[in-house]
Amino acid sequence: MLLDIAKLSVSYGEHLMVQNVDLSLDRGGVLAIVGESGSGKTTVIRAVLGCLPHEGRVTGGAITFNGKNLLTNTVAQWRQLCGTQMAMVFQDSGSMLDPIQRIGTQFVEYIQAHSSMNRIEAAAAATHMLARMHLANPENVMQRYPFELSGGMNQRVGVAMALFFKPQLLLADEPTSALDVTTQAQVVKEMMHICREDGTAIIIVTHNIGVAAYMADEILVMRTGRIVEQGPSSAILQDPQTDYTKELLQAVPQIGEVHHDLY
Amino acid sequence: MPFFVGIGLCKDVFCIHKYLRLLMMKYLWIFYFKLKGMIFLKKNELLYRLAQMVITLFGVTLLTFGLTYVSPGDPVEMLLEVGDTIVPKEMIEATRHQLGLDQPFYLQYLRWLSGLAHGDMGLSYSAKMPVADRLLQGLPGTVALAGTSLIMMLLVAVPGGILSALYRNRFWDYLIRGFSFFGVSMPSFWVGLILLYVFGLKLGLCPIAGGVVTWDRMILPAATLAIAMGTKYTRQVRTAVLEELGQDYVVGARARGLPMRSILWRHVLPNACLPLITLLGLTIGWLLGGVAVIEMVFSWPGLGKMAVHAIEMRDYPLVEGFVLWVAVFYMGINLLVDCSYAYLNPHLRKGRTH
Repeated sequence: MLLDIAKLSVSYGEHLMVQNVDLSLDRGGVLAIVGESGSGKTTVIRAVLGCLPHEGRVTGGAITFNGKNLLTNTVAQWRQLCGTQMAMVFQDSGSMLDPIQRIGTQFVEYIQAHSSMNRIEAAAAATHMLARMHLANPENVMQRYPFELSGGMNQRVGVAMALFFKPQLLLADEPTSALDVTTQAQVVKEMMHICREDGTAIIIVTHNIGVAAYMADEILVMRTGRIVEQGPSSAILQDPQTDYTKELLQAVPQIGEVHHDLY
Repeated sequence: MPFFVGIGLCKDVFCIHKYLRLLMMKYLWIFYFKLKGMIFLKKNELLYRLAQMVITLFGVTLLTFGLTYVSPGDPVEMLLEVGDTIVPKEMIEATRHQLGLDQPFYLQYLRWLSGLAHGDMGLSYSAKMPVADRLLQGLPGTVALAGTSLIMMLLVAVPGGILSALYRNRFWDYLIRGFSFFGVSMPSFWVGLILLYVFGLKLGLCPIAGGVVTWDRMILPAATLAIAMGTKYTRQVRTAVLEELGQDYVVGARARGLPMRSILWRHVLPNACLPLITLLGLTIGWLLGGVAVIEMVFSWPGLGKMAVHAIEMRDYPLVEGFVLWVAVFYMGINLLVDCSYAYLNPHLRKGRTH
């Protein structure tokens, strides 16, 4: 068992955002958390990464990663874990980078924060990783600022950075919802490919059941901070038990197209 | 032996010189290309800004001229009547004619403009010397005071603001904000007088009488200015840093496991600098115009005190010259700030090439 979350509750100030969430994930497994916006799905993976917004905090439960309860971690332990054993891909990776520094500078800084590589080695490794994410002309990308790249390119950079240290767990927060359908499919494929090669487990948060169905072995449906339904993805897709899941499935009209693109 | 050592040394020195010169050349080249790139990108805008500056200067000088022209008081009487002496009317008229004050307004202004075009700002009545010389006399005091107070201010405001932002709504933040509120509320001339009373009179740590530019005499006026500016800037730095700390890239950097120290120094502070530089430009312009109130309180020989005296004496050419200096400098600094802003912010710099 790589990750085990038991009875997790998170609140923002007075407001209870997530209640009694249980989930577990094996090494190399892929889990999708699906739900409408505000259902607390992002909050769950942010809690796993110890990266909750300012007023948010975990009020109950346990998050066990590799047999160790993360909630007892010190700041330094979090820092060592984040970006190496666990990494995150955000919805808009471009805005997750410093706007006044080049991609290369930030990639190298990230690598050097977690390894003893020198600047030149780190730059070479970063370029190699960008190439692995099928970015054309990675040397040029290294010299660009985030605002100079398209959404799809920024997203690839984000994935490349997150997967650089071959993390055991990748947390992906709506990694493709800001992209057009064609780019979505490409980015997801490339991300899955690298994850399979490196044996990385994934928790993907999405409102796109099409993406969830393509990627995940298991789907977890959330609403207003609680788990509504949970099970293998084929079961959830073919035989949804709750009305909410049925609604979600109907609310994705392009599901056939996406399926078509992805398969 | 010593002879050879000597030659060896000479050779070494020569080599170092050569090396240094090469190094200097290299950096000069880099600097040159950077500058060229910067100006090339902003060429049209630079020309536009310069034209704008010239028009503004015309407006400013004309307005000042007009205001002094219509303001009550006669420079000739001020000049000639010392104490209770009664000056014959003919003498007043003669002096007025000599100074050109009997001419119509537009002629006086044109004469002043043509003098300016020849690099002659006229003669100061009260100081009895060329205006340019009088301005140059006041300049060192003002520049020294501006520089010192600015450095003192930044040394207090930048760490204070950062600390306040990092410990938002906790003890340090409340303490710093309390101090800054206290400082903002106090008028600076009053702070100056209190400082003079405590450190000058009671403790005897600093000289009270001013009049000359020396380091020990500069401490109190610079501190007064630094308090006045620093309290405002602490809040500005706090706001700017808080704003940046709330940006997504900070979350991204934390998720990548970067240490907080490097997030702060390498990402948050450089970004927070951008809005602060604009503000700093305005402050520098303001300081270089001379801070009249502070200079009067400490009888500091700067431009501000000179300007007040010039207005009291209806010394039109000196007032005019002073206003011109302030306007030119203010606009120059702001132009420089805009250039640096475009240079520091890649978005602005690169935006123009696309």
